Amino acid sequence: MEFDSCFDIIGPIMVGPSSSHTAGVVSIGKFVHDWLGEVADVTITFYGSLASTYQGHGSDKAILGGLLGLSAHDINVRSAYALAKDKGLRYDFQFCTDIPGGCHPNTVHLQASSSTENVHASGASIGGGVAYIYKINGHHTSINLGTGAEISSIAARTKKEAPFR
Amino acid sequence: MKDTIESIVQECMAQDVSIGEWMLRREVDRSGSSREQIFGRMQERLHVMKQAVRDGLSDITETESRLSGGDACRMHQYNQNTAPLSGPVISTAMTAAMATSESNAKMGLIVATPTAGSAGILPGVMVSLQDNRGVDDDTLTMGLFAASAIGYVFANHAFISGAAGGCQAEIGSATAMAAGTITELQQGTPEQAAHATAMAMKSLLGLVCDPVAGLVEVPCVKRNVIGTSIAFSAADMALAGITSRIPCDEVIQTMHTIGRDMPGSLKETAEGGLAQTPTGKEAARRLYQRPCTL
Ligand code: SF4
Repeated sequence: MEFDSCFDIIGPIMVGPSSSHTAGVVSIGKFVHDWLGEVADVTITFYGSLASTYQGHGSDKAILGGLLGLSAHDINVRSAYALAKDKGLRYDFQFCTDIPGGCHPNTVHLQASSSTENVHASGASIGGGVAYIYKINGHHTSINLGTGAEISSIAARTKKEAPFR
Repeated sequence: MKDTIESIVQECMAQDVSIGEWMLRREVDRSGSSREQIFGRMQERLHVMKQAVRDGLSDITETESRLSGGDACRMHQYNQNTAPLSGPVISTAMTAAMATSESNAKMGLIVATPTAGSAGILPGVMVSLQDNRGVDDDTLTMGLFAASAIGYVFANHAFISGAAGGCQAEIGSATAMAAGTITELQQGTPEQAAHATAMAMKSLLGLVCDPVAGLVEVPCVKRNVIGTSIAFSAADMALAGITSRIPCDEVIQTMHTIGRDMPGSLKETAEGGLAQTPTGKEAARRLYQRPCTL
């Protein structure tokens, strides 16, 4: 059963306005942050619905907030641009309103690096605050980032798995 | 076997417990956490809801898209200066719902109930029951467990998001959850709560999801506001002993069927309904001129 807990219905606690275009997007960014430990440089590509409606949904602040290590319930997501400046995060946004073949309408690609390593991750925010990562460094995967997910331990665990080591 | 409204009502009657208590016990069983921990987590959600209402009421700014904002404050002033036609209970709920949905549109902190788009309705009725009927936080928290039990049946037998089943799945589910919850908090029986849920849902069947420019603002904010008054009307009918002639589970099944048959243009894609009115299209044009940069 997809919805089992009372907190799947009353929750998540999140910054608005959209569980699919805001909350889930933060989690994708946070996954990459937790994978690298710290993000110094990133190219963000929004596809489909995220590319056409990111401003009204604050998806740009959401992804930057996540890349800075914030969670979907952290009100500082709103001030992600100022925070990115403070922390010296270098970022570049790309937009493509087409949806890559076979992908979810809310897809984002991230090419990120820390001072010591790079990662190329693709994710989709599928609704209700739930996101998943479906490709890392060219390898297909399916990592569910649910609303209560401990993203840092998921990232650490995935990194130890075979194709990513 | 998925729980139905009918099976939950039966179990509540057999154990002589409320729907809220049934859901709280179920969560203890499934999660292994203590009753106190789970109650605390739910109460934290109530506090976030109340804070979102306070934030929204004092914020008169418009959203970035300029499609909403400032109306909660307007409604609040009207309530202060006149005797609103819909009476204190409903007008307080309307104002609180609007404050929450406006906060949501401005990236404020909210609780998805069951989604962010429908996050205004439950807080609206909660705040109003507290302000007008003196219902305390612990009782309201039990109400949130009742709401989650109803929502959990909707989510597993139909849908709770506009993208999946149209606005009937989002505002409809939230309003139905609120109707059942109000009934329970006003000492209605689980059976009466089920009737209130059914009556609220019936009045929103078929509602399409047609957000202007794809943003959770128009018509979403006002649908949250009006959802509260439907919830109170349905609860009042149920408390008067009026029943839904179609049982609640059949209504939920109907919502599912209608949502499945609804065209994609009316499921959050902004390709139909109000989003495609001349004004809606103009708003979308103003906001999003974004060719591919790749
Ligand atoms: S119109 Fe769509 S986006 Fe707006 S509240 Fe209804 S379901 Fe949500």
